Amino acid sequence: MTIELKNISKAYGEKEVIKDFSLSLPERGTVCFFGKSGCGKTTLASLIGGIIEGDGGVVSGTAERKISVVFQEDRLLPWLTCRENINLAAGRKDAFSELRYYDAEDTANRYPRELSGGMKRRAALARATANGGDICILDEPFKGLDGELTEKAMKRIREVFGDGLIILITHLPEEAARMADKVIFFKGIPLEKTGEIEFSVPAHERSEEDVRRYADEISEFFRSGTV
Amino acid sequence: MIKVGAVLFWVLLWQIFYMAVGQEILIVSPAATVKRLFELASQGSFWVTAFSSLVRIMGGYAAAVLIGFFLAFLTSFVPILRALFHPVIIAARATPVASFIILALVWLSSGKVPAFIASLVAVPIVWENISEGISRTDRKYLEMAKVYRIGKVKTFTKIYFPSVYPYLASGAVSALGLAWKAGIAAEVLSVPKNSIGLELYRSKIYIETLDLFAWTLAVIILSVALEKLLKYLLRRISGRYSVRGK
Repeated sequence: MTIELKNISKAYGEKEVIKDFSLSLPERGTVCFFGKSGCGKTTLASLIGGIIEGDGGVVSGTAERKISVVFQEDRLLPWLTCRENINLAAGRKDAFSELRYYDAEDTANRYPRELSGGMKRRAALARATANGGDICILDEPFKGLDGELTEKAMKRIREVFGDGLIILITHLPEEAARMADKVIFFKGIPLEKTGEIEFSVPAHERSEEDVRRYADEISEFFRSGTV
Repeated sequence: MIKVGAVLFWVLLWQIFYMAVGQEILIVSPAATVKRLFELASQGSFWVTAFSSLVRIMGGYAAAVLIGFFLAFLTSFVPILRALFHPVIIAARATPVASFIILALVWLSSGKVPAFIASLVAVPIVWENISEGISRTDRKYLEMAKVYRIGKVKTFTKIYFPSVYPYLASGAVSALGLAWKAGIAAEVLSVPKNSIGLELYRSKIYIETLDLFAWTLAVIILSVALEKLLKYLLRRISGRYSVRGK
């Protein structure tokens, strides 16, 4: 079942971030929302994920589907340890063992305030993949992670959400080129879709050469007048 | 050290004042007050009286903390209840305690008046603090809870409660002193058996200024001790909730 957004709107006070906007998303695969920060990508993803309520319009195809989100600002509860944060979200006592996929097992009993930005990011990623589901929304998910860890995280996300829809929000061409099947370009505000690119080589089969080529393609598209 | 110095300064001033006035019916010396307090404390009846007042007033206070807590959640989430209770709470805060005491004397048996008054004074303070805490609970955490479907009970215990805890703690501490003082005032007017209020009332009737001072000192010492105990308990219950923000 595809996800359909019909004539959705969302304003923050006087600022109409999204105005009468429609979009169709596939049931599975990785779709990247690409655009400058502040153009409304996060608001769009938040409406899809049911994180916030829109002012008008309809989002269909998301009810009854389990959603996990890696928020831009981690949103780990400061009074709980990483273990407790992950277990709480996933609803399982052993969910925290997911940290091993991000080389972060030793953070299990530590509080978010004791962790670096990158470590918090890993805990937030572990929370999402431990919870699993049909839709995964990733808002700048690899911020503060090195190349090797980003690779590991992408692999784990694909394993968990491979049969579902992954929405990746980023402004980094390389990240999009490594992970996405399809890149949708946005500008704002109000949010406007300016184009899209679909890649032929599946993400997990891409060589470094493919990634470079796709990243160039994204940059080119972004630089050109279309965005 | 500075604290001890400050106390000594005021005691010294009291002594000078006492010497200047020179009439024991108006003011007694600090030394005589302390001596009298020791005399009273050597009698079993003192402890029965102090303990009865403590149980009575603190019972009312504890009920107030619970009522204030639940009322704050109800009025924060049910708009009609907020509209309904808001004027009552504002009015309760503005009404003189003496008016309530006199009314309560008409409505209730004398033993129940101090607890009722202590509650009445404490509820608005606890309610106000907790309501503030609820409104300041970070929406970002609530959105996270919604996405991950952690459920209403866990949203309450894992997000609202820790967020509200510092407000609950500060409300409970501010309400304690007021509830204790109002409770004693209610005892003076309702004179229940075995109560500090009754002792204060007696010292007024028999113009026992020394006893008045000694019992008042006992009330102050108990108040300070109660506040210290409460702060200690609040810290013990959850040092971990003291972390705020991201």
